[in-house]
Amino acid sequence: MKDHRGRPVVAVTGYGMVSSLGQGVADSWKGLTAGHSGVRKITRFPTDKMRTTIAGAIDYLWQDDDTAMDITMRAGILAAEEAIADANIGTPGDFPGPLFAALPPAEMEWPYRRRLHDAAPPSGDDAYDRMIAAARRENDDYGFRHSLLGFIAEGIHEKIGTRGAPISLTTACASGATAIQLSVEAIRRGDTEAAISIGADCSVNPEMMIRFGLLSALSGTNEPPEQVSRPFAKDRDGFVIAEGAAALVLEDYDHAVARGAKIHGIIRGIAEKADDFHRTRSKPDGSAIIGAMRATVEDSGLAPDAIDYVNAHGTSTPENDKMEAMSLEAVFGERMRHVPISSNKSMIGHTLTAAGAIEAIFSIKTIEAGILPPTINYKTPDPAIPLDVVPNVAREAQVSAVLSNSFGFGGQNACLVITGEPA
Amino acid sequence: MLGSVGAFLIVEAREHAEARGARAYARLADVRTDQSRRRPGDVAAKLGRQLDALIPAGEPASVLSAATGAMPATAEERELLGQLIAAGRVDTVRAVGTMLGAATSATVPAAAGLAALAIARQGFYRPVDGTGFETPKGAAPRRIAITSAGMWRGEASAVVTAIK
Repeated sequence: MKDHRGRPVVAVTGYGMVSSLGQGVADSWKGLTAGHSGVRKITRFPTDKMRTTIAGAIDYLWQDDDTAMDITMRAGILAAEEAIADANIGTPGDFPGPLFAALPPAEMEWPYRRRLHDAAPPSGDDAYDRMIAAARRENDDYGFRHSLLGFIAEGIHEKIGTRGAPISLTTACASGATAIQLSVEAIRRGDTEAAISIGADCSVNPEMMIRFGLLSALSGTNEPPEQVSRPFAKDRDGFVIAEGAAALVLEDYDHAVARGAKIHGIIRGIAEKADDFHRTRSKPDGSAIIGAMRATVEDSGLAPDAIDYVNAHGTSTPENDKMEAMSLEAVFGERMRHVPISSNKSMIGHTLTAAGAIEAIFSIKTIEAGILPPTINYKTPDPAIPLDVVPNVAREAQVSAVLSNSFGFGGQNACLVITGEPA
Repeated sequence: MLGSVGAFLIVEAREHAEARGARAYARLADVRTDQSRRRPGDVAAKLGRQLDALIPAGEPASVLSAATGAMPATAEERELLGQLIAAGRVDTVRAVGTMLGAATSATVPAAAGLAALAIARQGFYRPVDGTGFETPKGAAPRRIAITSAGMWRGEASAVVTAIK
């Protein structure tokens, strides 16, 4: 089957997820549609004197002495294995296509740097010189591997056996959507009949909390944790950092049908547009995110009126939610006031690099189940955002086409249009 | 020996380039990547399969190798290239790292740029190794294959050809 531009139609035939609501798509979706929050007080490390002390962490995967890279790899592998089993494709350790993985930056974390520092005898006043001396002496394979960008993707690749070199990518908080974009484009080009896209990010550690705090992006409210993420509400005051991973098996539609695969949905349209305005803010006229949404709808071949639900980026920052709402009204006009839109981040928090992939799966589940997940913690409407945000309680609705938005710091915007299985 | 290198290629559809009157240096015909588990023989097997797909029989390629010198990857690659020379699939080899150092992430774009330049200028780079493995090339290169086996992971090949 070809789309309106003569390209192969790309189906989603498998999905897997870990989130702060549970391990697996089923548990995560159940929590999401019940309006549960996965945000809790952080217990993984001491939060004394920290401005933000809550997160949507996936503590059930945490092991002592984990680095962010260790737990991110573990989450990514779990999501990938669930997706591949769901798609029933390939053989164990041999997936018939490439891996595109959205992953957080690779870096040595404070505990490792401290260990390195302590491994060498004191040498004058300069801690950096001391660490260099220790690095030379230790010749530490663990430290070396953990400082390479490709470390996590390599681990996933070795486990599931994808074809070609695994691709690690980041477009900040649009990364999950970008990972899907690369698979879709590879299948549309005819380079492969199947591909796996993964977004994984388990970065709840002191350094990340402080960094995002310094960007004034995190909510400074901590109590009660499950009520802090308040997308689109007037009293929203920042996002809640969260962990998660999602994997999607994407496949040429004809290939999927020929092997009798279950088709969860179709990635119908995908596009991106960069914004050069500011490191964390959108152009005041919204032109970049408006352009990304318009280009995505155009790529899908659907009329804008066909979009009947929006899975929002909806971070709960004052800036994002205002710009997203304004831009949606620019794209869809008056009609937008009656198109339901909700933010999964009100419940699972902001999973950063993984968000686009997690929310793509929730978008598909919305179509499959005929249920709109709510935006919880919506108690005080913002008069500047006159939208139907599916407040607080899930709602039954037949949905045929979802626009899923992902907007990253650094001006990286990517959107998806997702539809159900073609009749 | 590490080298600091930056490389930036403009890659453009032929019709798009011609429509705006741009001059093309060469055609980037194909790229293949793998990431083996680096068991003995993996580097040679992966690069061998890639080059087999990229170099048509009867049309030998010159090779710009991004070999890092790290063992055993470079030894495996050298043996493979020796076999391909003996089989007439490759006419000669240059190790770009001898002049540039090992450029890690920039290696393949840099080698692709050097390949495109060689094809556009209708000449090839002088042999610079002391072992005689790199031999002089008489004719202008028409097809240049690039090989890149990372120090400890990743195997890739690309091929750059003259525009017919």
